[in-house]
Amino acid sequence: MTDHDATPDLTGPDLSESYALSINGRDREVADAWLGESLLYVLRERLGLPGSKNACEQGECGSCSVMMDGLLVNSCCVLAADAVDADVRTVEGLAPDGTLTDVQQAFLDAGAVQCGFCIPGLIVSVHDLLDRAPQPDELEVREAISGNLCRCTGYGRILQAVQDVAAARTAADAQEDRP
Amino acid sequence: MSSGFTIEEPRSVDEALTLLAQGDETVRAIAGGTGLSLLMKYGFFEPATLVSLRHLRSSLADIEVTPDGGVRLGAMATLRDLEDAPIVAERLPLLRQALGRLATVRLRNAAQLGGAIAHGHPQMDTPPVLLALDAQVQVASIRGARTIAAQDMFLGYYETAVEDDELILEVRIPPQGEHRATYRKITARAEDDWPMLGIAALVATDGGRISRARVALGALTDRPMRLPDVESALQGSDPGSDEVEAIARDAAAALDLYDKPAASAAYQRHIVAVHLRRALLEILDLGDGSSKGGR
Repeated sequence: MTDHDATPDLTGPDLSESYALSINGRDREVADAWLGESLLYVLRERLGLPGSKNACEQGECGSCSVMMDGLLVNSCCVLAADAVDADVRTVEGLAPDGTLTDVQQAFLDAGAVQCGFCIPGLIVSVHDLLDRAPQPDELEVREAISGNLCRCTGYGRILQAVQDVAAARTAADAQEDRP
Repeated sequence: MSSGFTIEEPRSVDEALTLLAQGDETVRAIAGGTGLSLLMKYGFFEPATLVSLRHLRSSLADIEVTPDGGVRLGAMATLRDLEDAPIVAERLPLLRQALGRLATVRLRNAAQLGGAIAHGHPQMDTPPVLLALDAQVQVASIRGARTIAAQDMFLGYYETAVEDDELILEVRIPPQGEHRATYRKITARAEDDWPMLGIAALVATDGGRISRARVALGALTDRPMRLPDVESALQGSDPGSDEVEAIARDAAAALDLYDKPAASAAYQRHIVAVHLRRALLEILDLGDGSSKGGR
């Protein structure tokens, strides 16, 4: 770390900082970065992961939702350089390339996707919800996705999609349990 | 674009305090980062050094009952940790209730109690709750440790009594005894907006009489405020709904408020009278009052 009481820096911002992040199980180098960049910015602009969307940039809209050490957070409000050592999972890491998770498929089947901008954040939030509460009641679903703003006002079909996944998973579990 | 800065990652509280003791207000501790990172993004704050507390969480996030029956809350407990903690649900239902409507789960998963104090934004939900619970905030610096009462903590926009070299280590809540309490969050625009008014009200009763009353308002001015006149009117009494209405109306009339973009002073006063009445009726078990007066 540098000593900052030296002579004033007249050459502009010091962009020489480098660090490594763990994204979707892979170590990713971030080079020549300003340490004040948000995790969202680094994901999108430096690591080629534009699935997490940038809208409000102030923790209101949930479009940038990611999992960090197993907790759902707004990546716009987390400093990337402070996420070193954390296990970060983005919407890109939910399913292998070219395939969809059951939640993504249910959103398509229910017609829950309108313009689509809020959907990656919603998908991450719904996975988090169903991991914590496999059979959520409507209030739990609403609480979990409050803070995922959809400006197409398509919440009805989104709520339907969540219930569809929960029901399908429960049915699949029952099938497995059968002797 | 802001200029470069460094991030230090101390491994002990002592190391963190040494880093904070540089006599430079742009050396700041960062924990969840949900407040500070936004101030940096907007260019309101340009750090020379951020002291990341991430390695200190294991020792500063405990939630436990103290020998006197109070509760000790580690400064690095996330708001979600507090919301989910059985000790909080059992002994501090007021805090749990307020956290349930604070921003969204994404913020509560990251934001921590110490930061929710140090950020010092007057529209936060936590300050009036901490005032109503008589919270004592323990801070430390290389000069020593001290306790700041929640009531003396909040000094204005982004201003608190925590000095530049001090770090918040824990919050102590004294025993509350048998009590009823509620937090009412009133938003001016959307349901999930920041509060235009937060009311934390608590009464402890002893043999039918109110032995202790605490009423604190947040978000109205640049800092939260206790309402001592309301508290003394309640203490030792057993008021009915008409008296409660008068107490709330008088309290609202006495407030020194100013017009804001989302609400004129007159509107804010009306909202205080309505919701303070409802809060008091609720905790005094006199109904919630919503059948009387405007919504």
